[in-house]
Amino acid sequence: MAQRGSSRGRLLLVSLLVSSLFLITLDLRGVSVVSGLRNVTQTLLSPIQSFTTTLFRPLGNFVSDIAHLGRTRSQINSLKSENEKLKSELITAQDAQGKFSQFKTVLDLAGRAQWKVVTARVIAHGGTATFSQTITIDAGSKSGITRDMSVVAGAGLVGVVKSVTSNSAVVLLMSDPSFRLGVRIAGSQVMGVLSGTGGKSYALQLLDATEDVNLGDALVARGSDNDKPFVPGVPVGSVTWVDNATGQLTKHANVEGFVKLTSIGVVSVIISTSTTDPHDALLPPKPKVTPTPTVTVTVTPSPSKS
Amino acid sequence: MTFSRVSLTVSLFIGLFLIQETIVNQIHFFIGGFSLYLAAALAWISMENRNGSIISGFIAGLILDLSPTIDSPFGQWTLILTIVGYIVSVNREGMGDFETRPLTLAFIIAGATTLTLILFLIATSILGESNTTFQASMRELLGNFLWTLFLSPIYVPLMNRFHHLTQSSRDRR
Repeated sequence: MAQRGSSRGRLLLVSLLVSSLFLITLDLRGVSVVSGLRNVTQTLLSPIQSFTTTLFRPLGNFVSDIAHLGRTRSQINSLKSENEKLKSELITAQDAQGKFSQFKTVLDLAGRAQWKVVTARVIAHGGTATFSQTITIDAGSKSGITRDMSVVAGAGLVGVVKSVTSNSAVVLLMSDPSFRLGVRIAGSQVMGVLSGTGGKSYALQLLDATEDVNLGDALVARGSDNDKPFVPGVPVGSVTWVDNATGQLTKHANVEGFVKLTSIGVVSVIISTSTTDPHDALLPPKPKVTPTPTVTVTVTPSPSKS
Repeated sequence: MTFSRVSLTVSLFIGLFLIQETIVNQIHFFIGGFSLYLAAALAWISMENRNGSIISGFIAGLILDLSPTIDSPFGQWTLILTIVGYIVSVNREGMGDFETRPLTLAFIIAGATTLTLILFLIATSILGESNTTFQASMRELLGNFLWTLFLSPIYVPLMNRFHHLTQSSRDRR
C-alpha cells in the first residue's frame, strides 16, 4: 500500500514538473495567452495598488528611514528641533507636499528640455522575488505611454518603461543590474557606459582608458535612435569615485544618481522630445563657492635708529 | 488532496499574493528584501502532507508567476516551487512534529526560502535570463533569510492556526 502511495506521489510530481516545463516552453515561444496573463494581473492589481499606496506609503517611508538611521544620525539630530514644530501637521499633508515638490521639479526639467511628458504616481515597487528593480506607475497606454520610453523624476533619469497596460506601466529602474545606458561626461563629452549594480551607486566604464574623469563630473544620457529607449541630454548623476589603477583597458568610476530611487513618489514619462539635443543644459547647477576674503599681513622691519 | 482543499489553498495564496504585491512591496527592507508570499507559502507547504506539499508548491508557483514585475518566463516559479515542495515534503517526514518546535519550523522556512531563491537564480542562468550581479544576489539572499527568520513569530503562528482550522478530522489522522 505504501509503495502504491509513493508511486502515485512520484507520478504527481512528474506530471506537475512536466506541466511547469510546458508553461515555460509556451512562454518562451511567445504564446500570447501566457504572456497576456501578467498584463491581466497588472490591470487588475493597479487600482488596488493605487489605493494601498495612499494608505501604506507613510509606513514604507518609515521603514526606509530606519534603514538609513546610522548614516543620517547627525541630520536626524538637527531635524529633531524642527520636527517638534511640525508635529501638529498631518502625515497625509506631508505626503502631498512631498509629491507636489517632486512634481514641480520634474515639470521644471521637462519644461526646460521642451519634452512632452506624462506625469504619473508610483503605485508599487517590484518584489524581492523578482531579482529585478522595478516600479509600477498609474499611467499606461491610455495616456500615450509605450514600451522603451525614458522615465525621469526630479533632477534626472529614473529608468525605462518595460511593459505597459491600459492604466499602468512597469518601469525598470537604473539600479537594476541589467540596466545599461550610454552616457557622456558633461563638458568634456567623454563617452562611457553606465550600469546598475543593484545598490545605490552605478558603475561607469569609459570607452577610452586614456580619457580623464574627475570627481564631481556630471553625466548625461547619450541618447538612442528615435529617442528610444533613451532621450539625449537627460541628467544621470555625478562621479563619486574614480579607479586610477593603471594598465587597464578601460577606466572605471562610481556614480551617484541625481535621483534617490528609494523615495520617488512622482515620475514623468517622456512621450516626445524637441528636435534639438539640449546637450548639458539640463544639468542641475553646481553649488557656488562663496569666496572667503583673506588678509595677508606682511611685516616689514623698520631700520633701527641706532 | 481534495478539491475543496485545493480551492482553499488557491484562495489563501491569492490573498497572500495580493498582500505581497500591494502592501509588502511598498516597504523598503534594508540589506535585502522580504517576501511574505514566499515565507507564508513555504510555511503552508511544510505543514501539508507529502502530496499536499507538492500540489501547494505548484499552486504557489503558478500564482507567483502572475506577478507583473517578474522578468522570468511564465512557469519558472511553478517549476521551482514544485521542486521545493517535493524537497520539503521528503525532508519534513524525518523531522517529526513542528508544533512543539516552532524555532525549527522558522529555520526550515528561512532555509527553504533561501533554497528557493538559489534555485530560481540557477534556473534563470540556465535559461540565459540572468541579469543580476553576484554581490547583489548574495545581499538579497542574506537579507531574505534574516527577514524571514526575524518575522517568523508573526506569520508562522497565523499560518499554523489557519492550517489547523482548515484541516478536516480525516486530514489530522
